[in-house]
Amino acid sequence: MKEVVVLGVGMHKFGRFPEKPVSQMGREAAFMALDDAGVDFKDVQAGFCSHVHQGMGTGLSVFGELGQNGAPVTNVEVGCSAGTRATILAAEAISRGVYDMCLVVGVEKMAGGLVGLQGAEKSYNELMGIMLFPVSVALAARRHMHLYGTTREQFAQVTVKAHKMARLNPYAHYQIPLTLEDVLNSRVIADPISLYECSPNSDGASAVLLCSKERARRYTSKPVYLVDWQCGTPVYTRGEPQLSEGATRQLAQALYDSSGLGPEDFDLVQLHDSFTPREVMLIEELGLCPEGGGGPFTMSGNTDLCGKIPVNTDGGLLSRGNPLGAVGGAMVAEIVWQLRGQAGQRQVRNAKVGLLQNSGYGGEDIMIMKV
Amino acid sequence: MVGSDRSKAVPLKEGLYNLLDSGEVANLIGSRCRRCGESFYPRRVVCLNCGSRELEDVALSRTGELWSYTVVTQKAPFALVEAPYTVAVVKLLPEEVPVLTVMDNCDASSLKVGMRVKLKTKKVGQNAEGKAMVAFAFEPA
Repeated sequence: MKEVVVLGVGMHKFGRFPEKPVSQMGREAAFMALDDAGVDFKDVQAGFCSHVHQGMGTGLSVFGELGQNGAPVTNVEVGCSAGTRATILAAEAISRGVYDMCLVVGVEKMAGGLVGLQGAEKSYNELMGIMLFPVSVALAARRHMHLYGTTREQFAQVTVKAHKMARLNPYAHYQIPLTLEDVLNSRVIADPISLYECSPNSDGASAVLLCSKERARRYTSKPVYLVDWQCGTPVYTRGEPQLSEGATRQLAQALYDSSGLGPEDFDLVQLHDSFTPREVMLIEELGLCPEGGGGPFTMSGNTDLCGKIPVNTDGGLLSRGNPLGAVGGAMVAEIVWQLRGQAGQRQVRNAKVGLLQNSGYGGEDIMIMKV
Repeated sequence: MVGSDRSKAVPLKEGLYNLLDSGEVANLIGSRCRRCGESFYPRRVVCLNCGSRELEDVALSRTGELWSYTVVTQKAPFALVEAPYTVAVVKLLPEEVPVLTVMDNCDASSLKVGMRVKLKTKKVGQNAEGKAMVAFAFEPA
């Protein structure tokens, strides 16, 4: 198996860009990644385009903006995990020697309002208003409060922290500070979740250029390695309904076993904070803090920039934004910048190893990067 | 399975619950695996526990306990239920089958995780023929 390097990353700012086609946002992110690596597009052997709502031919139009070099282009859709899954597919191909150089471009333009209501035939659960992302997270959050005594303030602290980090990230959708009072006083969507505890609908693009270790030597002497990865969907468990929306615990254990790395080795973590309670539960499921302890762990600053284990240093989905197909690439980009020491004011000191967890409506991805 | 043609009520969606001739919800319809005994709601073709395809329809218990709940303050697009409304996960007993449902006849301060709840009928409007469309909800037992 060949070792895989993330050679270049690029971003188009997340936000609302109603007049700008996704192909143009994708092109800008892709050129940033290619220029970051010093690679010409003609040397890209395969392209993967992650998106969710953009329709047939999106990959072709995005990569068509970059050139016409004959490389196969594949569209990847796994909800919010599309970008990380596209990265993993490219990494798998490189590690098995199929290609030496692959480019992943993630793009999305979002409609307003609640995500997941498209399609003609409405199900019983949709007609009854019970099948909505914030509702399912709120149900898990209430159960977490019941089991562990977690408080609304502890959940709310996640988005206060996220907004603090995003102020230092020029690619973030929202660069505004929020206080705990702002969050607690914002409109309740599904209790205990209020408006500022939901990730915003954003437009944007990201790009990740991957290559083999051998190929990377031509371009850099300090590569960032994509060391190991896991992806999957939950295995059925009898009886008790599950708090987790994915297979995080199982995938993390498999990843820690196969890589020989664990929570004590990580200098920073990127994870899927679609709603504030998800981060509290995910830091437990990833083993960063004891089970049930995610609320107090967050409240006492352990996941802040200068905390024990900084989480979502770019502002996360909650503040950096959530353009579904582009999210995974943004998470990869943040870890790459941190490991290279290029994260500016939000730099985590001496960061060497990063963990990335991404959940999507369709599956979950988890990976480790290091220098 | 469903109310007769003479009934004045129709289910909002077929196949999820049985209606009595009175238009009341009799029970939720689940699947039980003939091989391992695991039960599911809604009905399904393959057992998630053992992989068997030998599942049979069963009338599920009308009672259970409140696993979790949330009060939704924003009306969802397309939803027939007006906000605010309460959504719950109920664990039916003794089957231990989770059901996602609307909770009626409660205010949030009266709800406690673990409390006993029971099935009820919920009318959600009329269809084109003027028949009442019937859904289900749960309420404190």
